[in-house]
Amino acid sequence: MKLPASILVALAVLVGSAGTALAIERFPPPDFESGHKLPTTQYPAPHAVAWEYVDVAALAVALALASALALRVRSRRALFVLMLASLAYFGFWRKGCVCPIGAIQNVTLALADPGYRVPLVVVAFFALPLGFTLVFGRSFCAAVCPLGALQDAVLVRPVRVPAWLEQGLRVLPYVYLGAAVLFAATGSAFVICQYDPFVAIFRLSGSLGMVLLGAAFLLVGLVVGRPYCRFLCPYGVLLGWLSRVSKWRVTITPAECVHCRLCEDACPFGAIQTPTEAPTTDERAEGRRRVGRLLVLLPVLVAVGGVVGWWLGPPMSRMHATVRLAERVWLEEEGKVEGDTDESQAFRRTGRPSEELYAKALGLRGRFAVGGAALGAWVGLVVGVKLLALSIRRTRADYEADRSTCLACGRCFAYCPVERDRLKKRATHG
Amino acid sequence: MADAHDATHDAPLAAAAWRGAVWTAAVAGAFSLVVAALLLANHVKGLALDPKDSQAVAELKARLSARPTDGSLKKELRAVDLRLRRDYFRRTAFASRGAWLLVGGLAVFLVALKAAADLRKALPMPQGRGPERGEEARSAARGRRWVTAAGTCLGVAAVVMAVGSARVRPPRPSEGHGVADVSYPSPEEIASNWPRFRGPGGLGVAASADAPMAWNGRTGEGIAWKTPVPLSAPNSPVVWGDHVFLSGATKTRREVYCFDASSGKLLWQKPVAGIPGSPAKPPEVMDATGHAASTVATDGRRVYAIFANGDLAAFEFAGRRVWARNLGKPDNSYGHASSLTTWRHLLLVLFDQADELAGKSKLIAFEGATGRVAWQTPRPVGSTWATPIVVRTPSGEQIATVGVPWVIAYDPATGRELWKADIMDGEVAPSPIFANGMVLVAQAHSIAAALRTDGRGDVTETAVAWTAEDGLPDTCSPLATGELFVLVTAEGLVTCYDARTGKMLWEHDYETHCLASPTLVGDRVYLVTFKGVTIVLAAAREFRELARAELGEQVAATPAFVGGRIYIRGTKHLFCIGKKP
Repeated sequence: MKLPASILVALAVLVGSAGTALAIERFPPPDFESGHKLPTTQYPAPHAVAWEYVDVAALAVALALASALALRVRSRRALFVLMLASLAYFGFWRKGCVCPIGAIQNVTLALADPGYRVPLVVVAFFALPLGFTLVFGRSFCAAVCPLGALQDAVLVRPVRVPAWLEQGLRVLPYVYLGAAVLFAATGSAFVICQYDPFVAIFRLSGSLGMVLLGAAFLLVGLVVGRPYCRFLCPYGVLLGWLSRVSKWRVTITPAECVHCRLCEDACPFGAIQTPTEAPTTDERAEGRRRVGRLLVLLPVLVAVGGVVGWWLGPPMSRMHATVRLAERVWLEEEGKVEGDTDESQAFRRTGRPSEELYAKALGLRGRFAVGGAALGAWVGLVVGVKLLALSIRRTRADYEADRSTCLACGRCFAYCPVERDRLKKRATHG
Repeated sequence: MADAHDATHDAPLAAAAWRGAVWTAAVAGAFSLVVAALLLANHVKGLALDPKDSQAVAELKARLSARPTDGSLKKELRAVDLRLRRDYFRRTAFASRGAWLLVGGLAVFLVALKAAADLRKALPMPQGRGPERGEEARSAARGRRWVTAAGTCLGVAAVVMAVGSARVRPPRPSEGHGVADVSYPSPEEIASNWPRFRGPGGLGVAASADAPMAWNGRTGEGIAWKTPVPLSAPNSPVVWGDHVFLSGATKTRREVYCFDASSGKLLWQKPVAGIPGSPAKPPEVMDATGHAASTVATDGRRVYAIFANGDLAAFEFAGRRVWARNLGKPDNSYGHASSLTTWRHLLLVLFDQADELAGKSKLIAFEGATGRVAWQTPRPVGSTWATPIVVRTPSGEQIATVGVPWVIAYDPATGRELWKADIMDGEVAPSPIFANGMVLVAQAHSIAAALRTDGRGDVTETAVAWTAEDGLPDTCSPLATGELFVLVTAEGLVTCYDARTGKMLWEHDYETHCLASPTLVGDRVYLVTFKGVTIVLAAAREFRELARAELGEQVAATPAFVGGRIYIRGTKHLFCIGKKP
């Protein structure tokens, strides 16, 4: 069935409109002069600590179930049901927080700033999916992550993203991961949470920009399988690494591949690799020369990235509130801007000298210059390694799920005649 | 045979199911569209009715601040506020319910759409003979190109960001701001000059007891010199050594003048123009206020001038402009009129605007040599037209300011608020003065009061030594000797109080228009009427007029009394009263 463009447009309008309606507005209390006493503001009680244990337990159980359903039971339907349950609990019930993706930042900040104590529940959320992935592959992505679940639920008519475009876009999660680590380590911002496209939908509340961002991802997600997971998720980078070396992982067929090619288009995430033939001698020689050139190029890419990142450090430092405040105060003092802001007013009320603020800001800029250089070098390294990976020929005899990018969703199971035969035999023999 | 029969049997069912799914999707989509449209309308309407930005409430609050005892206004304000809040919560509830309906509608829409897609899903039918030889190599080559492209794009984006981002760089501590001139005149230098509005300290007290008492501007008797001023304005002359400074402006021109104190020759006339941020459209001002109501100030190194459009400039005595900046167009109904003053190496600018709710008012200290802001402090008051004074108290120096409703004192070194008293009302134009260790203020339709300066924080209940309510001025600033407190109204009523107790000693009504503030010279009080008649009174516990002299030209500015001479700015000329050189 072909989706009319009008339906897509209508969906965009609908989801976007919901965002405007859900945005929370706040305003100050009225100025009563009649003697009326404002009632004491009631604050909701903090979540009971018990809920944190419940969350961790729920995560562990969900991960175990997802692993069993993907590897042992091999049931896409069961995985889908578990996915909806995870979406309901971790997404809409627990409002998408705490989540392992954002936990990257807490852990980073805890490592960079000894004064920051990361809650154990956050550590558990960060580590549990990684541990399960190391053993069972990406079962977290399959049916536990609420962000992935939401995108999976709206995938109506998947189209195949060309392999070349997929390769190019897959650089982005590494950049996002590097930037998130930099901003978290400097205490500037938790950008993963700040720009989480789905948290506003989970909470049915948020700024218009947040909801529109989520709506845009879901709109694209109608035809492109899990765009956030594949082309942006920084936690997916870590999971992909561990999945490469996991003890067990999802396979398309439960037994020997019969090369029927029925599964070729089964994966909406482009994670099925086709069989390859052994390269010729000439191809092998050309491949070796290319790898050699890229090995020479790799340190150059890292160095160039480092220089560009160092250069980008000062602009990036504006993510830090202290740097922004220092720049604002300086502009006001130099008469380069009119008026003042709430922040600059508040600073002046502290009575602290501007020079103290400038010194702090310059210190932070220095840290950002170093951090920016590290980020740039990291991006250069990622590009170089990606190029190398694309230059090393691997031979495959069968259709296989990509070790790194397979999300263990189980869609390919039903396409395999060997799997169907297995199910039929099981049904027959009980 | 049985399978074929089943397939034939199932086909109509599948078609019906598909149609059902499509119809369900269509209905759910239409429903969601309607809900979304309603939510959107609700949101757009809500933007215009936001209680915290309500123009109606702001206007009512402003009216109430002018008439705080008006019960009907209070009722009206409460009713409007309540209506707006009810509307707000109704809209919020509507949005919340609507959002759930929208989510539900979209969920049904998606499920039906997926069902329809599944029902028409084509079975996999691989074409050809599978992946061709070399296909993986070609795909890898394309992948390398796109990874390279992605890396290049990221690099270019990073460079563009780095180059394009504004070069905002607070100075490094080692750089400082250059070697700025932080020298300032001694108290003796200040006392022997007339550096600001109302002279040293802004108290309206001349250092010299010597001043002429008789002259005639029409005949030239007693007039040392008389020089035309290019642009008229009600600001007062400032004198430092051989220099007399004035400013003048029209809607489109702003100028600073320097005259030779000995001869009256116009030494230089400098435009204040081409300042970044200076508004293209001049502010609306009252005719009597004009575009240069603020008196210039000098620290003996430079002369500073401010205009109604927010332009602020510093000139060397030789006429070179040192720095200039625009502070933003003042939101001031009559036009900005607060005069400048200096403290040590700092230039103090009282920039009060709008009403107290707007949060636009502030006191700013600039480094006189560079124009760099040394500190600035927000003020919880609306527009004022008074000028601050810097006073020396036993606990240190203080900047005393008057506003509505607060009289506030600040630390001149940091701008930190020291004390404040909620005692003023109306529209404040008369500047504060200082005598007997107390700050004295007076304002028509409000009160006159003497405030002790040793308190901290809100001293409304503790600092007021005495108050008075008769003869309150609306334009002229008060005058105090150690013993007397003199008020002059715009209608010419002169009232004298005991400065220590607030007890009225005498009053005399001249029934003439007065805008210039009175000045104490020795034991005499000089009062200049708008008609240009100078009345000399005895600074005594009983009323006694000593002399009168006519200038022959209208006067709105307060004269300067230096070195036995009087410098009076008429509406057209600058006069020097005294012996001819």
